[in-house]
Amino acid sequence: MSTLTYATRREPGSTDEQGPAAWASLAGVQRLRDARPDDWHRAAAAWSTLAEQLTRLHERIDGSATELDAAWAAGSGTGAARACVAAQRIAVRDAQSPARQIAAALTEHGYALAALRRLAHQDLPHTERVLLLAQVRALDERTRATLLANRPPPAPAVLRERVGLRTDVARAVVQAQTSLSPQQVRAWWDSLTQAQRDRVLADDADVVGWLDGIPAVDRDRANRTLLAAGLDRLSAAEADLVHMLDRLRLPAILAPTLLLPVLGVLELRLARVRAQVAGLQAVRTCLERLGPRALLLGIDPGTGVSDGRAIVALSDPDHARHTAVLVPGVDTDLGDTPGELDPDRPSARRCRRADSGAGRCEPRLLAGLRRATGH
Amino acid sequence: MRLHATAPAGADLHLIDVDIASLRGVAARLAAAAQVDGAAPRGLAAARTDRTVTASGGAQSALVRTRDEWIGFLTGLRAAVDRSAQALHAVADTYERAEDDAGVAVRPAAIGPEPGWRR
Repeated sequence: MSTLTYATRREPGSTDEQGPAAWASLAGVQRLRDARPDDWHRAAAAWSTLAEQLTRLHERIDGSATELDAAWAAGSGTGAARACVAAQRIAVRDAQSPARQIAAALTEHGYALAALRRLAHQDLPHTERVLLLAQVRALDERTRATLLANRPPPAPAVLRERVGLRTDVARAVVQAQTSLSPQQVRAWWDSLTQAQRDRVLADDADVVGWLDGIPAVDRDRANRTLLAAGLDRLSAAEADLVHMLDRLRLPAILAPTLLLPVLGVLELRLARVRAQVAGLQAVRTCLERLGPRALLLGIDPGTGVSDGRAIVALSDPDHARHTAVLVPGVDTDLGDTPGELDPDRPSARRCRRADSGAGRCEPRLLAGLRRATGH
Repeated sequence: MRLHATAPAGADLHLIDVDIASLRGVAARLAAAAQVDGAAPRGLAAARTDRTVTASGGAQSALVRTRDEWIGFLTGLRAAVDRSAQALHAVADTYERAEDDAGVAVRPAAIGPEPGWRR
């Protein structure tokens, strides 16, 4: 058993700071101290903005319905158009109230969490810590119930039928495409509605981002989503590790015999996370420098031990007359991406010369691929 | 889309009953509305509470689930509104072609309220 010691005042002779329950309540209070109520307020603001946007959208659709009546008075299609617009108006109207309810619940959660967090910073005995954590759980349950009660309204049948609101594509279906040829993948992609494609690009970006046959511009969209999400996730992990290390280095947190091994493990983990963050940031910097024509056709942050991988196209390969592929050596990693794709590098200049000799004005594609070291 | 298939293929195109410019105006406003409100899902996705999970496990996971469902709903709604706009443009195109075929410039204001012209 570890010799964890919290710097908490104890009543002389009291036994309530000993035993597993006391440690659990101490740990729970510490988590409460680390909670971030501001995040909940920011989420509430986003939902409040959504509610306002829905109100404006409802007004616009309402106005459009009135104008439609005047613009298209008769004909067999006008009834269908009116029903369609009316269904959208109803869907938007019904969505406003749940969005507001969620915003209110998140605001309340943020304030309540802040109040409980203030109590957690006091030096409380075990029994009061238990009561405090019970309040946290009650708040958590109350917010959870409100959120689940305000899920989006079901779309009216007429809307689903007329415009294909159904957007879900099972992940298994998406994954099954990886065993098909690029031509078959492209045929599947073309069979989806735009809403379905949007959903797949958002939910299954890790699959379609690398999938040959998906249009390059769509792969780019999926991979930029992955890049942003990866940076968010790894930056959060980095901050958490730094926070943990800072706390562990405080006096009286861990016995010295335990401290050094734990610090060693965490510092190694931090170094790996930082290597991944640096690699992804290098790719993002490279894309920003190359401008809107560059497409990210694959991204993998690696593990911090193995190198990450990225495929960057300097322009859309789906419309290229010629392609040139640059595969950097095994001693490169994601952090070298900007340098590897520098237009002044000899490889890029040779590419331009070759393209010019073939009667073309510029290279259509220069792709960079990082392989894991040793492969 | 059903609306597209119904209206332009309909046999009873009453040219005097449609104001093509107004119809295109409605379509443009719907398309603009769909574009503007496409920002809403991005706003929800950007508001992260992941790192508050330590004190609020149930609420946090419920928020992620609810948010994902809402993003799906909003994405679908945006696509629906956008497609309505496209369908109305298609209707306007059809009426415009009907005018061209007839070889005359037909406008409601010029003809009057009586549906006397049928393709």
